[in-house]
Amino acid sequence: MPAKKKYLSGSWKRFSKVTAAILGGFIATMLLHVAIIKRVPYDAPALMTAAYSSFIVWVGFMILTYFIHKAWQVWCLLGAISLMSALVIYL
Amino acid sequence: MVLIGRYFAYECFSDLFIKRKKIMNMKLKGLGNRTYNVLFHTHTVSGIVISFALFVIFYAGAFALFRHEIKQWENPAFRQQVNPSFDYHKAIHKTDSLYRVDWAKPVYVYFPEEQVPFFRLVGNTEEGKQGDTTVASRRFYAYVAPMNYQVDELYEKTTLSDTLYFLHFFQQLPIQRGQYIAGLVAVFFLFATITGLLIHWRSLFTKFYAFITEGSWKTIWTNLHTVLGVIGLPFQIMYAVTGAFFGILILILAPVVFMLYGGDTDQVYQKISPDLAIKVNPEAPTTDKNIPFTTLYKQVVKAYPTLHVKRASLTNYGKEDAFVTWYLGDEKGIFSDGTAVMYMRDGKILPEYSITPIKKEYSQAVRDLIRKLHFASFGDVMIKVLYFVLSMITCLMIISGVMIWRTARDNKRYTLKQRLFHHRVTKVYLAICLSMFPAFAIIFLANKLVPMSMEGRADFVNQIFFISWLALTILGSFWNNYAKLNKNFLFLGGMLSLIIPIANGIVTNDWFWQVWQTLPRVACVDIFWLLTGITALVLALKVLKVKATSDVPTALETFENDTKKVQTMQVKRQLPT
Repeated sequence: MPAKKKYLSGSWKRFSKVTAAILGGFIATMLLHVAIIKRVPYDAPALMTAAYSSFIVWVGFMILTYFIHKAWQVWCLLGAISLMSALVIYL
Repeated sequence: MVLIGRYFAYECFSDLFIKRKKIMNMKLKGLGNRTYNVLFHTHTVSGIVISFALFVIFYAGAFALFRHEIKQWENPAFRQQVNPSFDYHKAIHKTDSLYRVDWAKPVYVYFPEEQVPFFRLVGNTEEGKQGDTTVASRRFYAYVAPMNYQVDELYEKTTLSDTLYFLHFFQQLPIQRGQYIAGLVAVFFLFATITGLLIHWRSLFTKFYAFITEGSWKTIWTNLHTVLGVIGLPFQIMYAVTGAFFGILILILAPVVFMLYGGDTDQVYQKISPDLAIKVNPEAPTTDKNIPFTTLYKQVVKAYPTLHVKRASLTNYGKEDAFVTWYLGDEKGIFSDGTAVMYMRDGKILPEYSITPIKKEYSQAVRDLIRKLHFASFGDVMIKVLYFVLSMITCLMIISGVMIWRTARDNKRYTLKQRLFHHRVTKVYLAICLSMFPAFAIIFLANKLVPMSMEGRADFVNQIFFISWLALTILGSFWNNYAKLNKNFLFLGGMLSLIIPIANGIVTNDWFWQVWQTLPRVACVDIFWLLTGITALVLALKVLKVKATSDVPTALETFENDTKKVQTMQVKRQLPT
């Protein structure tokens, strides 16, 4: 029943992935939401949607992290989302 | 006869049987091997880490659903009639003269209802001088009696329902911000739920029908876990999201407020509650030309005949720019909450500051909707009963998950040391979780048995509850047989449950067979504990069979005899993977 060890990654990669899932996922989620709230014509509905959709998207990113094999690819993906959102916010 | 019956049943329902069988065997496209194992591992780890807290949240939360319904049971002072000709103006003035209310900040008033027939005021006292020392402003919770207008802080007398309510987000922890922990647990609960759904996706239909109590213990726990997990899935996802919303919304709002609104939280809050935009002048002159509060109340009640006015907030009461926000709503609809805002000088509802029930905007509806979903304040009391059952199902799912974790690790692939560790974790986990039942019975009993006149009785009752929960947990850690642990706690809880209605009858003289028509809520609490006690005792004494064996792992034979194998396995374990 327990997951087969051969598929699980080593400690460094595991640490990197857990950090990417929780911290990277949170930063990407928040920047994405802030970008959307800033660019839609009415901010109040978007803001109230973000109040619950953020949690769902955050968990979505966490799970996505574990679908991707390599930790650096995860960081690249989350970094790209964050960077794009930041560009949308500040440009 | 049986055969003929079966044949007829088959003839009539064969179509259904075949359809069901088809659905049962339907396979969906599952995950790949690597993803499956990785997600399985994250599901296990996140599940085990949050399981203790999650069980407490769901168990205490299930009782907290009835927080207002048990108020009458916990304090006999609430077992009186609502006074239909109650003078609110008089009550407010009396409270003001006793506490020196700070009217510049909003003061919330709760109108008497059947559950709590007292008129309640919650606000802050004014900072002022008493003799030489300055008295700091403090929060007060005043209860005004329906008949003689006596003002008391009944909050300090009984806290049974509030204790259970606060426990469900760990408010009693010394850090004061237990809700953040509860919120994070909710996020990881969502993670565990979705990963659980993904790993069982391939045979989801089979799992839904797997009501099987045969096979090894590992199979039984697995079936229990997956069947209840699939049945409770929508409920659990809803609670994970709404729980995270109430716990750590600040984590979401803080970045938004700082990046988009320059750190001005008022701008955000005004979008949700437009009445916050009204500014009052604390220096405004006092006047007696305002329309009396009781008149305004009657006017609002008349304007919204289908809803009831549960509470109101008063700002700058008695001054020229005094205004009231009336909170409207009912226990049935899901969009029926709303507000009506008016200045007390003219009593006209200001639509730009109000939230009209049913017709409100999306952004105003979200918070109320989440609140209604989380607190089950829609669809009347039956929804609460349904939520209670689903919460208990979720508790069972959490426990069975831990049991899978242990049972799947109790084999020769693990060293004796590791298996002993798994055993200890499971034992302490079961001791904490299963002792909640007797501990809850104890707090209900303590609420009745500690005399009402005692000074600081609420704190004393809380101490009894937490100390007995701790003591029961320690006691449970000595029982090395899980079935015995379960049976003992069921027996103990069952016995204590049976005493609760008797204690209530003796102390308050309201026996449930006498008051079930006049005080249905009181009788319901008694009957609930009576039925729970009987069920627990039947389960403990008749159904559960406890073998005399211990669950402490012992060295497995294959392990001991084959020393070579042991050595190679240990070497393998030390190697970096």
